[in-house]
Amino acid sequence: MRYLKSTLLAGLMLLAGPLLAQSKIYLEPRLGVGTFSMKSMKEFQEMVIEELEVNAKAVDNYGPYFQYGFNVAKSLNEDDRVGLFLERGSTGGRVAYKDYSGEVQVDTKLRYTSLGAFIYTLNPIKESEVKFIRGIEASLFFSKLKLESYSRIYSQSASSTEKFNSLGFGFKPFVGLQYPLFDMPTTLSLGYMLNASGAFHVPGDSDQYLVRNKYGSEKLEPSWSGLRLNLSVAFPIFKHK
Amino acid sequence: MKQLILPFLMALVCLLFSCDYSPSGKHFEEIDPEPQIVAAISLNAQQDTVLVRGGTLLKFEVSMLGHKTFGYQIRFDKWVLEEAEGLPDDLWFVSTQFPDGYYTLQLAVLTTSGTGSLADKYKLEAAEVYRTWVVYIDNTPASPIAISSITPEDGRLKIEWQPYKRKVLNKFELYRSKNGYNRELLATFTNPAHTSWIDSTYVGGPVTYDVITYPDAYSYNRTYGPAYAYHLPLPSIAQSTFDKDNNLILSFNASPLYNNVKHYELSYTNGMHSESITVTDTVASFQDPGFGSNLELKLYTYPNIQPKNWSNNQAYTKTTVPGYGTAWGPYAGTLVPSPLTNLIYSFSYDYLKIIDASTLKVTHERDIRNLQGISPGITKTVLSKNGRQLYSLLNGVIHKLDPATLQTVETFSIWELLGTSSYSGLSLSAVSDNSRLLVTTINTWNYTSKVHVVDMALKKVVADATLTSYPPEAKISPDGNALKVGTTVLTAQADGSWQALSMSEQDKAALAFHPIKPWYAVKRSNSITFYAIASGAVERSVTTEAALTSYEIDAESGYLYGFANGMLYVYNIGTGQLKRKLKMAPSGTAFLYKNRIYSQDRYISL
Repeated sequence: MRYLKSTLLAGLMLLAGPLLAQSKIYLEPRLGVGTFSMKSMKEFQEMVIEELEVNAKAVDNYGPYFQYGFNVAKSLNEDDRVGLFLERGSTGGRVAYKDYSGEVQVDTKLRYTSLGAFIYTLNPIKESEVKFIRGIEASLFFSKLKLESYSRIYSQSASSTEKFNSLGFGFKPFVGLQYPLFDMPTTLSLGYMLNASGAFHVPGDSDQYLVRNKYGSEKLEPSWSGLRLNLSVAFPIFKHK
Repeated sequence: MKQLILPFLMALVCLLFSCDYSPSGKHFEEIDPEPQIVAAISLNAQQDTVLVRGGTLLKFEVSMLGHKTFGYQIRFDKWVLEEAEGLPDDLWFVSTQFPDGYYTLQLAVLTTSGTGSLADKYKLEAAEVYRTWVVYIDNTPASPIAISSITPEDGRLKIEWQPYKRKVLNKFELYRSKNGYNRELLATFTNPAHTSWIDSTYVGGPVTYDVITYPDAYSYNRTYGPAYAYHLPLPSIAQSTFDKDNNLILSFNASPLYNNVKHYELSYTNGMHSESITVTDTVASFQDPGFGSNLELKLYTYPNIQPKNWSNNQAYTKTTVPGYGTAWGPYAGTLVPSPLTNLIYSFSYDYLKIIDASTLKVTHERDIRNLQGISPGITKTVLSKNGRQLYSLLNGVIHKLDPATLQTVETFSIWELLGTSSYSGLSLSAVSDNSRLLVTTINTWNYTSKVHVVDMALKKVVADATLTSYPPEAKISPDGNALKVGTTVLTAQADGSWQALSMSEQDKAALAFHPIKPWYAVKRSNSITFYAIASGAVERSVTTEAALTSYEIDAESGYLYGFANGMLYVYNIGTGQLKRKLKMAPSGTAFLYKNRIYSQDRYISL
């Protein structure tokens, strides 16, 4: 996996080379917030609740959370920009139960690192400095699941942590507005991430995967699909003469 | 300024890289930690105190209503009889390894607490559910139950015994037996508090009651209580009288067990005749049973409820009720009246007796036991009508006896008299007043007899005749001149020869000689006609009410008496008048002597 990531990164850099050669290059830190469908993970929580045989509840079920990363962008012309980006995001769920005799807590911590490319077009809105943008992003998703369980009955407790990986890809159309704040193009965009991922499996062994129901018929996979609100500020790092 | 923003933002992004989402939230469930268990534990023994003897099967039933169980323990006082996972199966408990006494039996089931808590779900929170029984072990043999009293009560028989004090009892049984056998189970009890029973089938007689105790289901484990003998005499005849019409009036003692008695039955059998009557009162009467014999009366008492092996023979009393008339004797054997000497002779196989007809006492007696032998229908002692000639066959020798003392006057050997010994039996059939003795030799191989008329004075056979009927019947007239042997009738002629009398076969068969007069009598249906032996002229004739089957003439009174249809008829030959008609007892016999009618043991006036 690490090898794959390095290869992709090298590929993007190679692609960036000609772009850098002929246009203005920006480094854009990006910060966003997103929602996550996580349908499969929610079913997994239900299975956990069922297997616990007590009145446990899913007290946290993959709520919205921040994403952060940075873009490297280049203007193709006056209106179009392309770039590469690296983003990281996370969410999580918890099934919890507690009574006088003890407690159970099953946390599913999910994290992804995505590496992708984007392209968007700028359209000035009349005479103002605000520009309307629209574009798309395509990316690879490297997801990690950390399954942490903890139980205690009276004074006896037990805990375990297990890690699983999953590989997927995403596609996000988006629209937004750009405004030169302090002379730095600042973009606020809203998009919808369409994500598909493979099953969570034991790192290095994709045959040992997780399932999301008792009968083992359906695989457990993350679904990062959801709305994305993103803010980025562009800093020119090269000026091509 | 702008130059600072980029590093700042990049630093922020890097900082955020270490700020992944952290799940949060709690859920606390309010649960009552008190165990909620609805369970039912039961044992096949119904009572809280389980009585045990020997081995017993303990069948536990446990219902935990959805609770999971971990295991169980069957505890017996300080011991653990069984311990296992799951639920208990049947347990064969052998009590003999423990001394008799009280113990505690407990079944404890370890189960989930039922609180619904996490610990409960993961079986880390358990509750013990148990039920306790008291066990009483008794392995010593049952104590005997003794009957304490038996008394008639309210017309029934009440049997009481001491209560069974021990706790372990399967059953006890009350038995009645008669004469040590005929053991009959009357009742079975399982409640030890039962101490009495009403015997509704007992009506009297000697019996014993006892109780057998069974502490368990094994019939060989039993204890016999002591036998209690009881005897309430059966009802019996208390009084018997004859009214003026000779009807027999009887009264008897009623049973004090009046509620057990259904009715009484009185019966008697006399010869071929039997009679019985059912009575509910204690007084009964039989119509004139006839003269001449005592009555063997049986009084049966019938119970309302008949016991299983009931037999009539079980409940009767026998009473001999004397027939009517004045008692005399009684004398066994043949009674031969001799009116002319005022004596009555009794000839039996054992004794010859002379009875004074006035006092009715025995004046002389001769023991002839084992001298004559017993041959029914064969006479071996004969007396002439005038009472002067008495002969008896003793040990095959003819003895001439003194009719006044019964002593032997003279003896005669058969060989000496008849000159023959080719016979198998001997009989003396009759003797005339002038000592003509009829000696009959019998050949039993063809039952042909020869009657020899022996003049005992001359010791000479004067006539003989052959007889084919058996037993041999031969008669001689008192004067010795007429003879009837079967259907042959001979009369002596002046020249000493004998001539057959000509008459019909029927007349010959029914011919009899008058005891005094030289007459013979012939019975034809309802008339008896007397003829002179010498001339054959009719002397007298009597018409009888019924055709007499047998008849005699009393030498003293000259009356003719005979029997027909169970009645005795007495006629005056002179006038032909019926003097007496008397109902005879079926097995009764009678003879007329002067003015009395005698049976073997009673007499009445004519």
